[in-house]
Amino acid sequence: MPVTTEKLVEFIVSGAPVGTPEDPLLRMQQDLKRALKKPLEQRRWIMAIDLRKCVGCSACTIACVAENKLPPGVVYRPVMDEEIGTYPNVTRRFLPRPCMQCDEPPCVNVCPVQATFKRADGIVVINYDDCIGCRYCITACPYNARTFDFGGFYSKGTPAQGPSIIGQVKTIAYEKADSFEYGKAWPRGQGSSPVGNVRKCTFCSHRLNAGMLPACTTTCIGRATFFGDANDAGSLVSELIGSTRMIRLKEEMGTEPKVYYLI
Amino acid sequence: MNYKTLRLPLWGLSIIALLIGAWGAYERITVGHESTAYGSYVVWGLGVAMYLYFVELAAGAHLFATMEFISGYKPFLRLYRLALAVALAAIVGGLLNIWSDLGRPERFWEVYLRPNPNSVMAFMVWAYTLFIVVLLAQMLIEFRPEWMRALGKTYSSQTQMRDRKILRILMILSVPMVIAFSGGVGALFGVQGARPYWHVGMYPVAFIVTALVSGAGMMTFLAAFFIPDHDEEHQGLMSALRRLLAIFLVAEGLFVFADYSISLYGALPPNVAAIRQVLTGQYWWAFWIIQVLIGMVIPFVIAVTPGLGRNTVLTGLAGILVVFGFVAVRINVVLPALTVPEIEALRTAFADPRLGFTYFPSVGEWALAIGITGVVATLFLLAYERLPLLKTEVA
Ligand code: SF4
Ligand code: SF4
Repeated sequence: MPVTTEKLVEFIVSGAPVGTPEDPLLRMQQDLKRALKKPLEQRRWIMAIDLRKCVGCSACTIACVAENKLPPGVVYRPVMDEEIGTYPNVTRRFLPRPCMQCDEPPCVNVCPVQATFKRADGIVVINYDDCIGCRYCITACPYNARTFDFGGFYSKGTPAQGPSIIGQVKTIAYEKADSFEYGKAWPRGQGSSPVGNVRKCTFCSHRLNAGMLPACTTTCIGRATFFGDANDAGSLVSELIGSTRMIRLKEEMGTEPKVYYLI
Repeated sequence: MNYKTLRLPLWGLSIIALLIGAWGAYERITVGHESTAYGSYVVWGLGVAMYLYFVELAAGAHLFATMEFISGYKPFLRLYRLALAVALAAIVGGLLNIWSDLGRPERFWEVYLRPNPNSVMAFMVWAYTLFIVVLLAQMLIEFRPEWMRALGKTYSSQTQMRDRKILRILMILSVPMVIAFSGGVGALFGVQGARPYWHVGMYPVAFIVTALVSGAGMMTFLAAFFIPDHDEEHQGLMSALRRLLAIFLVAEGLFVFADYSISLYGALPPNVAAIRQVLTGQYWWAFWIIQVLIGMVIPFVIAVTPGLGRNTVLTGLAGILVVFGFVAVRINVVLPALTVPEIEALRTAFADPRLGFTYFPSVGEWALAIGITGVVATLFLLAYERLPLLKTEVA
């Protein structure tokens, strides 16, 4: 196989020897490009998380907080850390929990003002301009995947001055920077939406529109998170969800989650 | 003991409650939801519980306004205007509680402009909007003799006959409406498949029973202390109220027992955890002391013990104990389902004060709830002192 410049770049990015299987991130990037060429309603975004690869570092949680400028009390993708067994026979299990983007989402039906709905590509979204903040949808979600924006700041209550707080000024400015969820700038600091609204993971729909994978997927240091279009038989995620290791959380609820776990 | 004796303490308490509430409202306006103690997991708190409490009280009081019409027992007519006034004041209290609880209260009108027909919450809002319209219409007609005379017009017997017919139609309309919105509030919780503690098919019926108990408690209290004529008819009214109170309390007790015992026997872990929290958790006293002892057992004993029940003051006190104790009933509906994680490991997944599974209302929440209760009490006391609530001309 001739060594092209493209292959060399791939080698540098992925660390995989030329000719060995492609790095999943590069493959998912190609899958994403193909999916974006199709009309919205022909895409079916899904996520697969390989629990044998997850090391519980929570990099995805933090990447998500940074990407979506999440304030205190709001988290889209916590990583659950369970200790199994009793000492000395103990082991740990890590399970990231984004929104499952359910095909039958119980959170949607309950909304009194149709502020939350399932898009044609299956992503469940919230219209911040319509949400009245009743929080009924939070109570309806079987996965605790929705959180409420109380309008807080992590930097609130930190002393106004003092040389010991390194980076305080930048932190405050960063917290007040706009969030670009749903491809729109949401300024923070004046109490405007999404303060007082319910918030949730959208598979980084704003990044998808720009041709980028979700922040959690690109950040995952264990290459444990996979994302793509289930309507594309050639996509990596389509291959993965055919595995006998595949499970979904709370199948019995009939929510048809679109996040799959490989156990 | 009568209203004269109670007037000063009642007004005093109401004014203190209003002052506390003014601070609570100021805090909510300036600090927003940051002043609350609930979070993203325990997402509803005291505000929602008080909302349930007041709407059910409004429903119960309103059912008592139609009690004469339903039962044909004339002494209930003495309660007619009092019950309408309680229903109006209580529904105002309920709506204030839920409105202030919204993340974006300025957008409440969206429920009217873009309602989701599949949402029980939207259904409920529409149902109690209709209820308020019918209630106001009922009051307008019931007080027509007074306001017509105040305008210098005569109120003829033909008008009275016509008004009586309209009022009867409104009463017929209002009964299913009250049942719809009171049961609808139960359905709001009952439809939640994600929360086994709430997912009870009989919840709508149980909520109607709770409404009847709250209504009976309030009416017993008012009949004892706010109706000055303690004649024979009043004795009859008190005895009927006592009996109804006892019957409704038994029904309420049966519902709670059936719900909890069947759930415990079924042993679905989140359900068992929620019920254990109620029965033996940190706030066990809210169930055993406030809800069961004060709200149910003591009033029941007074109502069914002939020696005690014939004492009007004691019966009135039994009524107010029910009214007080049933706040705990509402709290014990809302919170236990939320303080149990839907996935156990979420407890420790992300450390943040708003991402915990415990809750006790903040000072601001208490202040607001007390203030809104003060608004309800003040509205009723004003109506009682300014309007002729102790007679009925039309009904
Ligand atoms: S996980 Fe929860 S928030 Fe996400 S779609 Fe399903 S029900 Fe809705
Ligand atoms: S909080 Fe917002 S999105 Fe959720 S049910 Fe209420 S209005 Fe709908």
